[in-house]
Amino acid sequence: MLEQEDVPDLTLDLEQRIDRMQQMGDDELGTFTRLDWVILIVFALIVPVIAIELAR
Amino acid sequence: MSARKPARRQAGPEEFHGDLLSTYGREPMLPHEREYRFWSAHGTCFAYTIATWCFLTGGIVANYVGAVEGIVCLIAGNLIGTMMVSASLSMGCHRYGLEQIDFCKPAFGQRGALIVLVFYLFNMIGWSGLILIMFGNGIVNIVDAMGYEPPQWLVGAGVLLGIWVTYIITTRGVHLLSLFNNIITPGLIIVVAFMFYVLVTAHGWDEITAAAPLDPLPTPWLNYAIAVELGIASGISWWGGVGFLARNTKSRRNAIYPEVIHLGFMQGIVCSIALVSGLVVGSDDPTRWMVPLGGLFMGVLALGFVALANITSTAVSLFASGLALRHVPGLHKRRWKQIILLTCLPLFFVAIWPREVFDLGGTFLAYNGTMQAPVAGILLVDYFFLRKQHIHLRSIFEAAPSGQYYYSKGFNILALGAVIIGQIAYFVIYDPFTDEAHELFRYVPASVAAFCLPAIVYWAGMKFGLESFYRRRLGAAGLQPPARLIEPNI
Repeated sequence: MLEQEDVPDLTLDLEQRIDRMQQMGDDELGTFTRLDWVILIVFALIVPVIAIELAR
Repeated sequence: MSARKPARRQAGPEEFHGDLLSTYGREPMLPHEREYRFWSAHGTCFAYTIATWCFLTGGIVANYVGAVEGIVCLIAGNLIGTMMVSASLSMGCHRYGLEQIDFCKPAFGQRGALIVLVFYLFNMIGWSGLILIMFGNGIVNIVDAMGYEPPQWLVGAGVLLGIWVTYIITTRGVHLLSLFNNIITPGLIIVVAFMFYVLVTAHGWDEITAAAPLDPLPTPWLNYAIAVELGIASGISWWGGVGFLARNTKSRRNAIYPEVIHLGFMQGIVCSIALVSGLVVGSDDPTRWMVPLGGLFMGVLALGFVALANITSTAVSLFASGLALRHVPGLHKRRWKQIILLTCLPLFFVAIWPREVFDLGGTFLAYNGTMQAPVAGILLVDYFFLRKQHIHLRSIFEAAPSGQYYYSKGFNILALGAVIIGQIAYFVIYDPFTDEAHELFRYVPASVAAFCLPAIVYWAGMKFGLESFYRRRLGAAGLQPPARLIEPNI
């Protein structure tokens, strides 16, 4: 197991990671569209609220 | 161990120590280092869900409402609560590969996030303790089902065994955890379906829907409102785990869909099974009724799978706690095994006083709602509405005052004050310790108020004054966010 203390220059490693992460886009991280938000909001917020009110 | 230690070397321009280093540390996790793809993300979330905290929640709700109302409150409440905490944490921790407490820094400040860390650790280790007790109870019931008299100390011994197995899994990384989940998840699906089948065939749907609540309050609307509140609080309780799961997923969709589907919807279903068992069998502890209803073989098999699921859940919690402990000065570069051992230390007290700790389960659930809802609300508006999903990643790891998230001596007083406002709002609307409630509680769950009110206060304060004030002050002091780290906090 590679440990933190085994790496002589954590800061350099961290700097490189920061630069890479800041530059990343949908190609590396996957897409997430407005339709995804609509699906989630309907499924996890609107329908549950309606169900709670109907069962009240 | 030393023979397997890799040679010390300097990272080149495109060479990362990654693969293992970010897994056990706070460095932004790059996509190729992440463990969870589609199936493993769903499997881990499902196995995390089946932990016996579901059974605790369902059993508590059985005190207030009947089966139909309870099922609606638990499924709908869990979905709402999970969505409230997952939206910002999943998207942010996944996008930037951030550990969860690091993600709190843009809102709470470099040092303010450490205050959140205290509550975070209390939450994660508290849950771990409770489910390890359930693991111990499961062993006791297996021994009992096999015709032996379980000794008093067996629950504590089970907790110790659970700590040991969890320690082994956690110190060997997310891959082993993922592998473990891939094996037990299919078994768990069968167990959950079997539990429901056994309950329905043994008692019938009519008997289930006719069963009265176990210990309702005299005011009918209050019972329903409390059931809704407990459902939402149960979903909000995932606040501690969602960032860890999302950080380890490869794609955005895998970061949030499995969480909402399993931690929200599936958890609601499993909670409902506990609710139904609580109503008709009189016990919310599945380890007590699985053997009598399912027979020795199926009962013991089911108990075994539930026990394994508890270990998985504890491992995820301890892994996330270990990463969070990396924020503590002096622990930044400690060996991973030492870090995990530290997270295990409080659990040894659980092994000594399992019954006393278990009795605090209901209070602990309520505490989660009061503490985590305000933090989740603030993170949501901070990430989506104030920062438009753009974080200055370098400032997360910058301890110098020139970092964008240094605020006032490292604290964003507005965010911390808004958390207190949220907690006060919660207790004004509903006191979970006495079950006293304001008339507003009829229409607004306390955790929703504790989520929304701090979010609005924080958004308004930052938008119309404080953010530009902090920026002006940085400029007046001649400080600009650095192009390179000055005082890395890692």
